[in-house]
Amino acid sequence: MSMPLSETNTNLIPLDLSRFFEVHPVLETERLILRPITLADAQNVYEYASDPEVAKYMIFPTHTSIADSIKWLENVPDEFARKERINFAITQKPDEKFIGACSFHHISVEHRRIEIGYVLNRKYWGTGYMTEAVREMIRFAFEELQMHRVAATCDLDNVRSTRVMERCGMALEGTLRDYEFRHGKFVSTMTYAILNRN
Amino acid sequence: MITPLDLSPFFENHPRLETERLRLREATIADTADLHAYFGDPETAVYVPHTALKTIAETKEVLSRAAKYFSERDSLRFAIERKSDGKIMGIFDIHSISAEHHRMEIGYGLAKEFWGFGYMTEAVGEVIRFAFDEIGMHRIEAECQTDNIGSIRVAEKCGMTLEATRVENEINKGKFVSNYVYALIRD
Repeated sequence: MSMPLSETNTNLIPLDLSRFFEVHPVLETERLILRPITLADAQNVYEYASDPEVAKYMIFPTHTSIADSIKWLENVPDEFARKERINFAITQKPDEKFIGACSFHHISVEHRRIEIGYVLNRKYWGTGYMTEAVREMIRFAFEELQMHRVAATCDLDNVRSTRVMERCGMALEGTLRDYEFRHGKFVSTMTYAILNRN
Repeated sequence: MITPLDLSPFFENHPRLETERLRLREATIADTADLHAYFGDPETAVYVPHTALKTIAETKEVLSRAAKYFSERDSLRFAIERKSDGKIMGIFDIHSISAEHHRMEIGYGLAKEFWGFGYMTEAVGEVIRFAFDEIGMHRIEAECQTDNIGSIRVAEKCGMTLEATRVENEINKGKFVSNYVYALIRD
């Protein structure tokens, strides 16, 4: 027996996302603009990525020089060209001050699912900006990309990140034990998701 | 243990594994006719997103793709052979291998006539032993549809633990289906 259909559409052909990869999307909320991240953001990226308090929850090793940030940013257009990943800079209105970054990845047009990831400079923790950005990403994924499912993961002890996901309506689906080997130890990953019920 | 794993025991020569009743060795296009019983069976295909393969040529194509993935060090596909009579009963995959995170995923399937004899539990047990003891893996994962009772039983008999349910994670022949994630951690 299969799970019941959440909608009446049985013509679930793969999605065509080509137009989103022709012109990089820009998202906007009340207080934020999410725009393409570029090499010109290297100093901004370095600021959060070199912060051990931030990097300990991230898949990348703590950046030790701006060259690390440049190296990552140089790869961003290639991932976009391969239609694998859409990376954004999160900027604060009105002067578009860089406060963090986020992305869409693990994109499956066949299964209509996508994953999001996000990171915020520690100076802006506790401001609700990330919840605002993630809500908009989920809306964009459902309404414009026509995704059925949006997933996200975080470390078992990353309480702030779980709060963002929960405020955005995502549900905990499980904990993957010792899922990543980072910073010298195995860490467990919590996996969350939200479905498009409309 | 701190460094990325050396995967060359996987990929230099395709491993050959053996249990009391089974032999696991590289699946090749020479197995096409035997494995078409598995790949071409609509009843088995209920549990995977793709449709049953209609022709022998399609099965051959799938098997030749597996050889390509192996040469790219992406994944391994074993044929499961019964020692007593040389019957090729099904397949066993190792994929989503991460040397960095010391983890891998397994996938498996048997033609219907071989269900219910414990063959797959025997095969999975041996692959787990090989992955932990010889490759140095830390985590072995298996994902299956939530209605795939046979696959769930195999995972549980092999000591794997249900860790997550990915709700409506796949589209299988026009319907959303959910997946279970099972895993086993070394020690």
